[in-house]
Amino acid sequence: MKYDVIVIGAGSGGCTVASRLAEDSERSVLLLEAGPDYPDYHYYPDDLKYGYKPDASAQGAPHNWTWWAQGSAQQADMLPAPRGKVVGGTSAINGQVLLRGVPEDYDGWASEGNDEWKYIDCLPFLRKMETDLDITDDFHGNEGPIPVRRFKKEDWLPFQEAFVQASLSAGYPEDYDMNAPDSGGVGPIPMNNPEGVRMSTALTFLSEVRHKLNLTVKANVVVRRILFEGKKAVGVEVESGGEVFQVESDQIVLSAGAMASPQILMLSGVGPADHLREMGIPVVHDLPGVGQNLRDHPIVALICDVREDHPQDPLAPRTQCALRYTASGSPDRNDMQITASSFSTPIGGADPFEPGGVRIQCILELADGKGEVRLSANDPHVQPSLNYHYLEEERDVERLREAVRISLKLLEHPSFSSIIDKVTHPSPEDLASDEALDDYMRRTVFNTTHASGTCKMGPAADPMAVVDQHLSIHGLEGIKVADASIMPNVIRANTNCTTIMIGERCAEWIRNG
Amino acid sequence: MKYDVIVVGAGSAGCAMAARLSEDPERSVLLLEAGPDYPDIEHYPEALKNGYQSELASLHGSEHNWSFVGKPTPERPNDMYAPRGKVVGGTSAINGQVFLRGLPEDYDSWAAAGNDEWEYIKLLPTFRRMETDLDIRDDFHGNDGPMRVRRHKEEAWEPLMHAFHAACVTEGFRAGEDMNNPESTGVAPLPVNNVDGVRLSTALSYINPIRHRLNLTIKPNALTTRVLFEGNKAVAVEVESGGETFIVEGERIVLSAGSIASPHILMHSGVGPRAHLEEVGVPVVHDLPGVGQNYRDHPQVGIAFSAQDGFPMNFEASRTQLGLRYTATGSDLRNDMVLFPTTFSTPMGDLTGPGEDFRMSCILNLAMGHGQVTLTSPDPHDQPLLEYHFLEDERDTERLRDGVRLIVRLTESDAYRDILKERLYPTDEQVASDDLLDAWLHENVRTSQHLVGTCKMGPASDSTAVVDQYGRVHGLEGLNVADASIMPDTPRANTNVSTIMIAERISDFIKEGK
Repeated sequence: MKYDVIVIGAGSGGCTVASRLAEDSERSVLLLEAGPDYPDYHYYPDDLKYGYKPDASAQGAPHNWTWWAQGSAQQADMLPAPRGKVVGGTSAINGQVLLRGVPEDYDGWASEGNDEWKYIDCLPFLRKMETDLDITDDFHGNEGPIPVRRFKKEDWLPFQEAFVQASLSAGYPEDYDMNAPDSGGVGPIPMNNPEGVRMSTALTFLSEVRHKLNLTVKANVVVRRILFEGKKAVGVEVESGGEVFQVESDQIVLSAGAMASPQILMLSGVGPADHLREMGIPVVHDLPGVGQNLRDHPIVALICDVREDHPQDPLAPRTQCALRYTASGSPDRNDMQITASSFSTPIGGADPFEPGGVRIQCILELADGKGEVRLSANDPHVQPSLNYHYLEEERDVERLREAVRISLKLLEHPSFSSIIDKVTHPSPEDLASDEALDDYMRRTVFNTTHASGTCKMGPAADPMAVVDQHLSIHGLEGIKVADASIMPNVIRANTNCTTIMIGERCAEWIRNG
Repeated sequence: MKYDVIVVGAGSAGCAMAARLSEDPERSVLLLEAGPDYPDIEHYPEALKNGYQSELASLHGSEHNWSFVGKPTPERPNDMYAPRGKVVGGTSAINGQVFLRGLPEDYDSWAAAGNDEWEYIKLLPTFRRMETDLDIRDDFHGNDGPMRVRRHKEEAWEPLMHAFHAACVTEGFRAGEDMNNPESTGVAPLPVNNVDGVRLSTALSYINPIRHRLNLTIKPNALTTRVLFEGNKAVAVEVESGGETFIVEGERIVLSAGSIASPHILMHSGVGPRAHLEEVGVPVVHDLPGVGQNYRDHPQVGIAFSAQDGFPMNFEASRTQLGLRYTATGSDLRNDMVLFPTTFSTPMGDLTGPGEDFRMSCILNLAMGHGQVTLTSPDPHDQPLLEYHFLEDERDTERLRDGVRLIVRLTESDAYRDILKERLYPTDEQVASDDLLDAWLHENVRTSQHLVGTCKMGPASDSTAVVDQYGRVHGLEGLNVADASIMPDTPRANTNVSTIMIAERISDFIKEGK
């Protein structure tokens, strides 16, 4: 049994790669996914379908890997690190923000020796994936599989409206089109959830090609390792239904995400040689960058009690608008994002439907800090060790601290007076000094589930680069990586859109040989 | 993309074939099905699941039915419903779940016609390995196969079944034997592949446990239109899926599309009677006169009754629990007749029709007559013409006539007094007269949906044989047929068991390189 291409992981990257490659009926494609598949939309589970409800990504939810990660060194408890385990991957459990990085993100990758990735070269693929239902212009697509829209002003919940008013009063520009290359300021977030349905890559890309005889989707299949002959990847070893199978292919595309892609590589003997030896794994190829450079967007929240007459609907959309700005003195445009969430759960609460006021989220979009993914066992069923190393860089702490102060200032605006009773977190004591606030942040910082960077792209001259700019793994043949792990640096945006774009580009290169 | 084996049609045979061939992880198998697939048992449609109200699935026009029509006799219109399952599971997913083997004589007669691999004694291990008989452990039954088999216990019989049993015993028939025992006859509970009311199709029994195999790919909603050849070698299939046409290569192609669609696909591929193909306008690849010929079934008539006033009609109950097999008067074919009482009935093709409460089906288990399946156009989407030619042989009419009169006699026994009110048809006048009864039979004879024979197995010396005894199409390479169409004649039993057995047997031959 030999396929032309095996794609590992049916998430944002994998569904995109497999679907585009299967468009050519001459190419046989096997798409492997550890979670279940729901090919019939009629039976598509509600937790995946209804994007306003956050239960799909709750720890222990049926389509979540429910992994845990160390956030900051000060945190005693591990942070939830939700990852989608279903055909559609994390795009099937996420927050449905379809926001592009700023052009400088991609141009930054290009300047590090990946000249194919200039924004201007990525733009056709950013357009190709989407049908923007609101905007038709040179920067937006209108015939791609993913529908994109923004909440109309008249549909903004009161807290969102107040947040926008406060931001405008503070002098931030109005930003109707956050996907425009030079945009910034406050406005509605582009979202892939018309009618509230989370339009995952399963429902969009994959649905269009499921009828193809040259595409085989195999769900509930755990990849144990990639098989090599010398330096050539020749197949995969998988577990399915309690049995072990080996399947061959000419080309393997690893799209298991920024946590599982380095894990699978290391389990296959590709990674930092000393770490592999320590885990008892025969080294196929020493690549020190595998699992390093774990990036994400650290987030610190402010929680407010609401006035008694302010309605809290756990089933309403939670975040509709966002503010992007550049931190004081920062050379990185839009390196900060503040979002308003119209529904917050109590601190430490596990029930995503229990009301606990409203929330302001301060997000560091381009952190200096980096973490790592390491194996914790030579066993594909054991989650790797994930450590974000949050807030170890002084500049990261400074920028988040400023964002909290900006948020507090915004909350003083009269537009909030009918909504907010008082800010409960951080407490007045937390705000008493920079040190106290920094301590609050290190205790409460969490991730935005935008893991990236662990198989970073770069030229062979960069010893920490894992893939070249065409996504082929350095020093190996027949294997590419196409997911968020290849981002050299996290983008200043939610990662789904860029991950899909990476999948589009990978497919294009394979199609063009 | 090239598979080791492509199985066309995921029915009784195709599911078993794909399951057995994919046991070897080195062999890649593609299973193609024109209908939908329901891999998740939680979302398996109620109509397919509910085996007691079996007409929910087989109603004309229902979702998982090809809803073919056919011509029972030359005189009658082309409008007799011919249900065929269009779903992974095939007709085993919409059928009556009778899990009855043919008689040893059936298979021995196939062997005698030049197919010596098909003697009953050689098939017995295959019959055993396909089933788990929940009631019986002996040399004739299997206890670790995929198809679960049981019989309705006497305490669960509907009142009509008790009456039928008593009437048969009074008439002198043997009772209570294991109907899958080679020697058995008389009245007994039917072996059924239904547990807790669920119709255990080959999709549920064979496929669901092995869906995890990486070397098995199932593609539903994919209509196979043709087999493609290079010279005499079958190399690929042409498949329509989602509005596109695909060509998929296979080292071996196995047609398991059933007795209508297997000859249909062969003829559209240019394999069949030359004159007919030329007449229709299909380019001839290989002249095989037997394709579509020898179309056999179990002709049956239904005798209808109304219930006594106030008798509780149970729509939820199993319709058919018992059967009577007997040998027609003067016939030398053992068990050539079967009667099935039905506890709740409605006119054919209707769920709610008035008047008819019970039906007794009188079935000719080994008819002399046979019909044909022919193309009506070169378009593979057009249903072929199904001509049954029922009751053209006087011996068939005689035996059915005999059966109707036996039913009249049985139902006039005391056992039925509190249940049956009156016989609705045929009338006393019709029953009394051979001529009137024959006329009624000709008007009412219909299919038992046990279609076989249209790609019959036989040695190369038989010019009407389509496949050899290993299921390989004569004169071609890389192409098998494995379904009910290869049976030279009907078994004296519902066809599902024998069809699954054929797939099991041919899967062995393929594994052995035959």
